[in-house]
Amino acid sequence: MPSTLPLWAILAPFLAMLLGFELRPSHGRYAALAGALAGLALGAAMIVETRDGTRLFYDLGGYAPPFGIGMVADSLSAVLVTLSGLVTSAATAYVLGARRPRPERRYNAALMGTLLGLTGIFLTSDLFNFYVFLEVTVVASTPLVAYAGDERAPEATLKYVLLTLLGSTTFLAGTVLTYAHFGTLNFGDLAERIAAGAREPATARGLLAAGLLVKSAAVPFHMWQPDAHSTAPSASSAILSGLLVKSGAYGILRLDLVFGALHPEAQVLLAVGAITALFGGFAALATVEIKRLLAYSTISQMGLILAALAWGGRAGITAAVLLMIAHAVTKTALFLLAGALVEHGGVHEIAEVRGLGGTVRGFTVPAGVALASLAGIPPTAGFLGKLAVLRAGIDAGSVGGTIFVGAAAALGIGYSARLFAALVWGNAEPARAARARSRIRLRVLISGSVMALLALALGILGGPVLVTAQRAATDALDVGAYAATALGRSR
Amino acid sequence: MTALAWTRPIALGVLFGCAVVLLLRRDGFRVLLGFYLLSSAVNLLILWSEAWPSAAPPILGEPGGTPADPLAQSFVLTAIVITLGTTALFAGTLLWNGRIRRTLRLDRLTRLRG
Repeated sequence: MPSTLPLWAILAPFLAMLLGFELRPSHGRYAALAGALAGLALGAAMIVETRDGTRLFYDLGGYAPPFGIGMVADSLSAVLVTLSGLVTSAATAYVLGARRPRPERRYNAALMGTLLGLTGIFLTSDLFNFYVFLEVTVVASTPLVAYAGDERAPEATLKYVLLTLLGSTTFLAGTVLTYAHFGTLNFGDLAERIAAGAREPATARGLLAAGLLVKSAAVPFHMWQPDAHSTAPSASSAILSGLLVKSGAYGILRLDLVFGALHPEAQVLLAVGAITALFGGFAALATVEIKRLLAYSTISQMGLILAALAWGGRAGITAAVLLMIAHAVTKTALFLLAGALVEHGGVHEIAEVRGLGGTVRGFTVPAGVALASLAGIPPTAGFLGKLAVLRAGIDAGSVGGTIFVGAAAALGIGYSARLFAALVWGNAEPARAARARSRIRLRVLISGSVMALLALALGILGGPVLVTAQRAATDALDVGAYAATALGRSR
Repeated sequence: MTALAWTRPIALGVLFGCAVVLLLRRDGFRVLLGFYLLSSAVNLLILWSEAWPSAAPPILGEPGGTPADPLAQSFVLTAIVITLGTTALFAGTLLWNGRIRRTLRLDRLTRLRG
């Protein structure tokens, strides 16, 4: 069905970005919030429009594919666009409430640029366009890391820039080899040729996968992630950790579907996912900083998502989508709440948190709920996600893999409990407690608390979330229909 | 196979090889050059990808003589612009580090260990 929704989902953050440059910084923040909320509303509209399996498309410039560049929204894309709008809204609301980082035109523009790039990644149906939006995301998100105002910011930014740029260059090389082989980069065209018996060259596939694994911070390519995500200001960390890494997993899923089932490579992806999950879990148990613990737990949960994608099928993709939703909401809540401690309370290390739960008003309950969701304790969204991942493993008949991944998922209870125990046990040092109590106001905590409650609500009202994830998986697996839409047939 | 067809893979191999060697150096400036060389090598790969035998030109109608692929040329234009932007971004970040830490050596940046 032709629709302008995909176009507006990209234009809204773009317009907000331009507006943010024109307005005074204090007003520009409202423009950024409006842009993020518009993205959320457009994503929700797309979920409603695609709920019966229709696919929305928009041909840029009116050129019909395969010559023009198309944008296609199926329910998988719609879910991820909604998630982008939601997380960006929460982060922008935090910037408004907490006044950290200080209002700046460029920071608002970077927030909107990142949302623009992510929305583009989720909606495009062309491999080269995918690469372009990948670069837009890298360039726009660099200031998000650089705004730390911390002496370590230049170092973290340098690692982030160099490694993610090398990742996207690798992705470009894979794109070129795909083009040299097929003479087309339209997802629909590629999918139909693969279905007709053509084969994607292994080199191209490997380069594309490596580029996307850098983005999703999978283990051999994870080095930049804990530094960048823990040094960045908390509003940025929420977007980087809650959203940006998901774009890599989305790319792996979409390309896997376009290029057909990756049977020999699925085992490699499963191994990468399991090792990533285990490494992230152990590193989160060992680290001393609050935000670093959260960053390592992102690595661990991305490993679970990759393992679910490797198992594939309807159960695997449903599980991956569920865990993406759960993790995005949970991690946003945790980073925004941690922002209150780090940026307002001046507390950086886990040992310094001791006993602060009892002194700071309105902090312990949302933090406890969000940590329960991170650990995967019912009735939270995180529980639904982790349960679905393990079910997918059993459905795929991979017993050893399921045990391995289950052990990694159980580490989540360990590192979440570590943070929670530090929060509620013991007595806080009087000077630190007084400082935290006076500095951490309610307005700083609102955004994170709302996301924590959302993680709980999504777990309790699990039915609609599960149905949405299943619909996304069903639509994603119907590659023939996706290809027909992307090629301009069967509209 | 013409002489030109031989030189292309060799030229690409040399470029990619030099880029990897430079990227593995400790000096940040050499890493910057390596990144630029790598991006340029990929850009050259885009431009030459049209000439590979399996690439069918995406234009309709009978090609007269050797078909030129306009798509590869528009890809490479986009990619060159992106390369300029990303190289500038990396150079800026590197110089920011250099100004604050008084060194461009990447192995001296050790504040984020662990």
